[in-house]
Amino acid sequence: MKTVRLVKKAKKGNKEALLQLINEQQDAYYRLALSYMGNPHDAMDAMEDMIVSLYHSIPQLKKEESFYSWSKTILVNRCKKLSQKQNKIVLMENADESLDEALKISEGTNSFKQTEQRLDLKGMLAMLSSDQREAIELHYFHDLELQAIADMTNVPIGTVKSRIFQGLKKMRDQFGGEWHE
Amino acid sequence: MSEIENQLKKEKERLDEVKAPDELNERLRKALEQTPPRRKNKAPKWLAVAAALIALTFVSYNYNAFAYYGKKLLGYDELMTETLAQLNEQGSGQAIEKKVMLSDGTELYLDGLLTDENQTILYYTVKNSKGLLEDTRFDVIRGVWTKAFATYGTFSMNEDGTEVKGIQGFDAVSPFAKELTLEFSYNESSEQREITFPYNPKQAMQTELKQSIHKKVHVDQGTIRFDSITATPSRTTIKGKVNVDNFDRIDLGVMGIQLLADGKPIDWTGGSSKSALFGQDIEIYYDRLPKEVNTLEIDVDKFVGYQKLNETIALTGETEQTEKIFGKELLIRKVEKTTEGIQVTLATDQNVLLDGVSIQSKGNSTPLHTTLRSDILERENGELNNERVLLFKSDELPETLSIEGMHYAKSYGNHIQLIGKKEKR
Repeated sequence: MKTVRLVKKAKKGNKEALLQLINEQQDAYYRLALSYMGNPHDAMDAMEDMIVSLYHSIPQLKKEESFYSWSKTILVNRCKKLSQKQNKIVLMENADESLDEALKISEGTNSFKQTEQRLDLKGMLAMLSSDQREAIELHYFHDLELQAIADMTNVPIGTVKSRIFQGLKKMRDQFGGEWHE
Repeated sequence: MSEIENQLKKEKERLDEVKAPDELNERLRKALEQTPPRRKNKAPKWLAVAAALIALTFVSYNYNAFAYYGKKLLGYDELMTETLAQLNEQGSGQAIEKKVMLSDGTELYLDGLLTDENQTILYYTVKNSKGLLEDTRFDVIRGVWTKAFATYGTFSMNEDGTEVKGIQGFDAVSPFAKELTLEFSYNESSEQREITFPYNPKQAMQTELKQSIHKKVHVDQGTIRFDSITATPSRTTIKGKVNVDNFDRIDLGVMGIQLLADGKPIDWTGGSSKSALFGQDIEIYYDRLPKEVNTLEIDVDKFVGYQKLNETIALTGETEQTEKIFGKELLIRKVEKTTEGIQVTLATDQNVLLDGVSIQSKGNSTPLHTTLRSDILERENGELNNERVLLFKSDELPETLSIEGMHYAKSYGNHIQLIGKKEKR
């Protein structure tokens, strides 16, 4: 497997291999960082922090095949630390606006209905507790496995499951009747 | 899938449109480049020492701590050079007989150690009945006034892949060390280990000849200075310094410097050069000296030289145009026009590098812009050729090719007499 081979190289201190690994999923990393940091500048700062941190700690990674969930955990931790340092609380809904900003450029054809539904979804997400929202976004928007989310948020996997379940339930209960296709 | 999940999925598809800025890649590369190389051993020292102590306790329980071997090591025959085989036959060296258990159940046995003033040679065996999957890498032997880095190594594996026998060379260890610690790593360096064993410097093999030389030989673009010769049972080492401008222009290095005992060359076994103030420090390694030597001399048989040529060759436009310049063959394989400029493919003897190459057309001369490729190719007659593709910034096919000079393996033949009279050991 290519990933495993690259990880082994990176473990030996090969910087080029590490860069290549990040490169393969560069956009996914960036979106994740952006959702926490709220602006491209800080998101890229967080990724710089991440790659330096990865370089130093990769020898400790036991399972080569889990490089991506491991490195994303490190990225999320770096993001949280950075925003603490900057002494600002980034609400996920604000962060989403930055994702929207980024989208406005690429997305020209946006039907009115789509926009409306999106506002609904955002409104619904805004109703959730920040823990529930984080778990749902990490799982559904960033495609992360439950175990990875548990590692990122420092809680047992059961808690993650329940946050997602409770969050989805809340969304359904609150807005369940309002969906019109 | 519930309606909510469906909506979330749609939103994800939308968010996936967000792409990382172009500058990100460059920023990551820079961040990584500025990071200092990571320290090799992450675990605190006391942890490693504790681990080694525990390992040692187990090991010493199972084995007699120390024994000299007056017997020869078995199973290393195919790995050993003739000299090492003879030393083994004579029972030179000392037994270590230590075992280390690695995390995946693989066992490393340190069998014996052969030391002298030139180098240290470790005999080892790696075993795992389930098959050996990972490499063991030896880093350094530490001890009092000793930091002997690993040099060369060779090993062979048995047919079912369960046992490896190997020989690993290190720099020489100090005669004051009473105990040596071998640092090694296993499984792509994920496992860093060390093992300490007693060492008896009195068992080191005696140096047979040691003398300073302090002689200089002048070559075309500088001087070679020979400082000393140290002959031990395992190797003969000549140390010196090279201060020659074009030393690295061809691959010859110090390979053409011979050591003649009674007029016959001793096998050349290796060489090293590292840059120093005003030139390079060199070491040249030869096999053990014969038992009796009447004369011993250094012969600078071949070394890099420079020949001024100032030749102009008319290009015929044919493929495979052959020319002779200063007795050396020059093949002009191809001259072609590309979008980048004129490309000329030349092949020469392996140890020839042309200097000051330019092309001329309609009275205009264009100097070499860059060399695009350089390959060592074997010719039908078995000789090695160096083929290079040269690029000239011009868009006119040239009529002539000019060469100012060449770096090449020149026969010098300077002799330095080391021993002139009968010497017995």
